[in-house]
This record gives sequence, C-alpha cells and structure tokens, in this order.
Amino acid sequence: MKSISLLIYKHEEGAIEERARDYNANWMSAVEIVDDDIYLGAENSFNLFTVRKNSEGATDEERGRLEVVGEYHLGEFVNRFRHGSLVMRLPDSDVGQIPTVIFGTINGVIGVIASLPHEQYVFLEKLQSNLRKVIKGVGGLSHEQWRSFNNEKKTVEARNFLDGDLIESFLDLNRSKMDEISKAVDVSVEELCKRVEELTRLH
Amino acid sequence: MLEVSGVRSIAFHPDGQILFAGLEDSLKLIEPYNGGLETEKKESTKQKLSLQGRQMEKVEAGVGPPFGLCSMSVDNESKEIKNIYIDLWTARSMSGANKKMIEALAARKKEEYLKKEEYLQQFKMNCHKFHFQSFHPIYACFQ
Repeated sequence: MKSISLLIYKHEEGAIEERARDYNANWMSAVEIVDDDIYLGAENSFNLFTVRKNSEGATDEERGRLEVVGEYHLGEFVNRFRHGSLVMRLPDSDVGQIPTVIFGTINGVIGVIASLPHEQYVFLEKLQSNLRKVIKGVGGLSHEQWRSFNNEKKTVEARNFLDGDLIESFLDLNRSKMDEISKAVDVSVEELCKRVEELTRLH
Repeated sequence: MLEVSGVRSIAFHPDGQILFAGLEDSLKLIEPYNGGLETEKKESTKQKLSLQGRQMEKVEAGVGPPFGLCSMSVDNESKEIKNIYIDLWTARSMSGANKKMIEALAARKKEEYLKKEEYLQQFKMNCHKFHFQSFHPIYACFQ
C-alpha cells in the first residue's frame, strides 16, 4: 500500500519519473486529477481524501511530498472517478463554473464531487455546522462521527469536505428550524434557500 | 502482447503516440508499431453478367439453400444461365428487416423477370420440369 504517486512521462527520454508521493499508506481504489495541484483519491475503507502538490517547496524533499489537505468518510467503495456532470450545465451561470467529478461505487451509487470556491465553502461549512445542531441523526448517531475519515490506522475529523446531502436537507426543514439556523448564521431564510438551491443544480 | 496479470487501466497520451497500460503490478508504455499499420486497399469486385445487352449485377440474397437450381438455354444461345429459386417458405422463415428486404427484392426480380415473354414461357416450362403438384409462388434471383 503506497497511496497516491504523481508520475511524469518524459516523451523525449521515453521514461516515467516519480514527481511526488503521499507517504501515508492507503489502499487506493480510485484516483483522479482535480487540477494541476490537487489530486483526489478513494481508498478501501470507504474514505475520500485530497492531496496537494507543493510546487513552491524550498527543498526537493518538500516538492516531492504530496500533502493531505482533505479527508472525508463517504461510506461507499468508489472504483471510478470521471470528470463530468450529471446535468446540463449553463455556461453563463455561477454554478456552471464549478468543476465536478462523477464517481461510481461497487454498490451502484453514482455521486458528484464539486470543487467549490473558497468563499462558498466557508459559507456552506458554517451552514453545515449549524445543521448538525438542528438535525439529529436516526438513533442518536452523530453526523460528525459518521463523516470522520476512519480506517484501520486512524480516525480523524473530516476536513475540507462538506456533506452535500446534509446541506440540501435544509430545504426540507420546517419554517421554525429554518429561522433558527438563519439567526445562527446571520443570513435570511430566503438567501439561505437561494444559495442551497444553487447547489441542487450541480446534480 | 499477452500478460499474466490483468490490465487495470489504459489511456492514450494526449498526442496519441503512446499508450499507457496500468497492470496489476506495473505500468507499461506501448508504442504502436507503424510498419504493421499499412493495409492494402481492397477493391470490391462486382461480377456482372451480360444478358442480351443488359447489365445485371450479382445479387447476394443471403438466404438459405436455394429451393432448386437448373440450367437452361435461352433463344438458342449456347451460353447457360443459372437461375436460383428461393421458395416462399425459406423467405418466410427469416425474421425482421432482412425478411422484408429479401421479399421485396425477390418480388421486384420476379416482376422484372416475367415481363419478358420468353422468360415467362421458360418459367412455365420450369414449373412443369420440376413436377409441381400445385402451383407455389416462387422467387428468382439472377446471376
């Protein structure tokens, strides 16, 4: 088990060299390139994680290390990532600019992972945090615990990933609970609904 | 190339010159062998039969064994012309679009065939020759 390696193919030399590596041990089930610096992996304990290439590092050692920047428990064994979208994207809309990756799992689940702009991520993270207080899981299960990255070696809280299903459940709340969350995040219910509905158009 | 371990993933380099093959325990680069990619242009040949000044292409009906096959002479010519008869049972045993296509083709050929008086006479003679107990509609293709 080696986790993610970043290789570069040098055509002139007909050679493949390792450019960087994640030194954690992960049994990978699927890997995808998100952009030039961010790489997405799924591993066999049903977790997702992202790593970042450190091109600006001062030493070769730093540049050769992929840094884990996101971790999340999906609960599904992903065996394929593909760039693309499940819906028609409108090129002139804000949501249409968000890059998405589709994944497929051994249970037949098809899902979408969206790379959100930082500002939107911060806003939605706050919303998710407050939803956790209002929406109680079945049987008293903690959403926070459920979404923690968990495998044989470690359990760590999810970071830099959001649960889109939980966030979209805001639209199913009754008005009083919506008001409660609206006060907590200091955004009107109408604005909250508008911004969550934007997310539903990603899939 | 035969591999004892499975190929898990393949992808072309963006310029198409190299194929990356991810195997269970290794990553391979495969470069297409250009010399083997040359292919001969196969010109399709069409057989044509001259029949009293008319050009008729060979018709490949693609059906089962013909019902009957005989040779005959026409208008004192020594040249033998083969006729292949396809009975309706054979045509009906086929299904789908092919059946309709072949039946339509056979019907056109029969109509064309029977327009000629001499062929009509020969057609009747053939019916007699095969000793049909009753008249069954038949179709013909020419070659």
